[in-house]
Amino acid sequence: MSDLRDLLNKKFIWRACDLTDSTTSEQALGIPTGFVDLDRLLYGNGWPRDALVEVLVDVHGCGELRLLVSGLRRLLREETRWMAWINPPFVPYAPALHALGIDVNRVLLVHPNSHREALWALEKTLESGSCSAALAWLNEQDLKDKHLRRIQTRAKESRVWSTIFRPAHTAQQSSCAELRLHVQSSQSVGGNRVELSILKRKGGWAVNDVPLQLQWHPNALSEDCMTRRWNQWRQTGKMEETRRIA
Amino acid sequence: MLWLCAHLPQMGLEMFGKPPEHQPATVVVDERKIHLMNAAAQEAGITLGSSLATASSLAPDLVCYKRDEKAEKEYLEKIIPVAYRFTPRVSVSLPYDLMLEVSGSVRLFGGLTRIVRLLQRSLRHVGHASFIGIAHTPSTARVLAHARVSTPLPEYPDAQTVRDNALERLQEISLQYAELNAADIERLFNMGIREFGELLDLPSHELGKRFEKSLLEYLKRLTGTALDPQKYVEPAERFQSDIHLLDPVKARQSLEEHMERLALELVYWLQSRQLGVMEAVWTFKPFDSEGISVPVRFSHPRTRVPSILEFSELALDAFELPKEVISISLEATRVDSLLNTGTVEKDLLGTHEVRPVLPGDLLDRLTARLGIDSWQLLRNMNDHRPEYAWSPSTAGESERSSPPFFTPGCRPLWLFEPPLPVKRKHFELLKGPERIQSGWWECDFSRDYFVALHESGSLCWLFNDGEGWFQHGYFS
Repeated sequence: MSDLRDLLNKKFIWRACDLTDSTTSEQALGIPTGFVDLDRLLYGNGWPRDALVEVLVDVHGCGELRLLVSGLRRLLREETRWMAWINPPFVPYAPALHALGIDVNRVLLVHPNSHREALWALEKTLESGSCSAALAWLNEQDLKDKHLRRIQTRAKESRVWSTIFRPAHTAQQSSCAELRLHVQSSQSVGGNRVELSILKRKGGWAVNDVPLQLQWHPNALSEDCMTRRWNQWRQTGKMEETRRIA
Repeated sequence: MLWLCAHLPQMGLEMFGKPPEHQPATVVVDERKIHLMNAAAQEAGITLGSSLATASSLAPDLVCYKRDEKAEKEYLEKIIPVAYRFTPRVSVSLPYDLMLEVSGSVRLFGGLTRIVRLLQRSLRHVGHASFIGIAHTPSTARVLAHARVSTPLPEYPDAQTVRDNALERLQEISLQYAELNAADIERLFNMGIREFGELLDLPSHELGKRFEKSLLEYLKRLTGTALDPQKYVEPAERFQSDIHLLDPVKARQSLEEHMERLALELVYWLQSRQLGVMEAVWTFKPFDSEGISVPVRFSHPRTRVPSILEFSELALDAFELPKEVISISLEATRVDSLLNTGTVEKDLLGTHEVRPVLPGDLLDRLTARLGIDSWQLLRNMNDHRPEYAWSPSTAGESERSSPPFFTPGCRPLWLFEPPLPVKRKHFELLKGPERIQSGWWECDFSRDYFVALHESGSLCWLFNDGEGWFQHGYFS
């Protein structure tokens, strides 16, 4: 009996009865995503504060960062902890982050030289307790299920919202991530709209095609222009050569 | 005045490092006479002052060091920081004594017993057994320490009590501990004067007739009737310490013991100068070749042994250590004042600026294992040129990111460095152009930036500089 209790006390065993109504407990409240439609679908009404999230993308630049920005901004304002970017594929551009309200003074970039180093750095970041969010881009070929499991456990232990970005073809693989999203590129044209599929979530079934209006830069493209382009693209299915649109 | 003398009787031997488990008889030889020896040598029947030949015949596997007074002096100066923690009035008395004037520190440390205990413990940590003598003058404290006589004193003694108790204890101590030349001591012995009490009872003018003036002066310094000015020393400006081992070390485990001792010395030195270490270099030398140097860098001034050791060991993982290490050294190559590390600082107008606290442990772990280039912090720069509007920084740079003076147009979340040449035909231009020009005095360019849509559906930031099209980022 005591063995059973020991086992149940371990964090990696999840029981369906743990899944209480998210509004009743303070702990379970997630980080608001900034999208009302998405909040409604997520357990705890927002991004999990202590779990692994997978964001699957077809191409870079399909809006995957702006999907997270509102949550990150919120988290950085609530807590004094840092945000870590492990092995980012490009340079996270400070002026743009600043314009979106993110405190760039608390952003840590880590550039490991190999997959092993990246995993080590990610684990240490999670363990250190000095970061409240971690974004990681890992080498897909070497990424094993046991690695993900370990990241998920560490994220739980030190309460870090950990997000890893993976290519869309991994949607078919099983994963221990608590939340898996697919940011669909086929409909992401126009920049300020994405369509999300929730492949896996806590307390619910998968959901397909959730349209989201992304937050855009303060002085960005006008809404009309973007919508027009997008509709055009949907109808014709190909791009039209345009010189300049002022 | 309240003088503590810390006598380190075995320092000449202990300075060669912590002895191995099965310790052979070890002696230090001065002019072919046994000067110091360890317990094993004593068991073998070796006596101090006997010749090296006798000692070798008693203990065939005798390990023998030659005494080097210069090295001993340097070594003694190296452990000054240990004493400097308790009082700024520290002086060195050759060969094996540290003198501390602690009248101003007793209350701070919560009593005399506690100071003595802490001092002995600190000395033990750096590898030395010590005997403490307490008296009102340095000379008397030294005699008491050498004779291993403790003075019973209240926790917060006044000057009179210290003087009375010290002189009382001095009475019965043999004159062999007096700092007089050997001939004088022998003469006194021959006259039947064997203890300090008997000598001090003699009328001084009679002594003056029979002995040289130096004896009277010594007695005056002993009792405190004459001043005995001490030369106070300060811890060295730089920290560099090494251990030469008795036996070459092969296992990493036993290397760590010695590293801990060096780190402890470093920490005592740092405390005494109120500094923290920013960068330290370990050097491990084998018998025959150069050895390797392992630098360890810290994101903020470090002052504690466990953290210094943890990051050192992480850094060590990346290096191939020599198979047999015979000497280890530690040098503090960069230190910083602890006063500068506050997270709040005043700017020119006196307004407080709160700087985020660096996740120092994490950064140091990353530096130690992955190298100093493995991480960056972000900074906004006030510059209209996209490449220069941000800058990576490391923890050492105190310059803080400043919010831009102006709000630029659309800027992508992902920036390409350097910009990627692309073919125009894959993109549809959505917005632009935004002309960005640099001054003629710097890298000269003039670019028209566009927001563009790639075939795959991603939103890109393109520019045309007259020579071709380049992609400079993604609006992710």
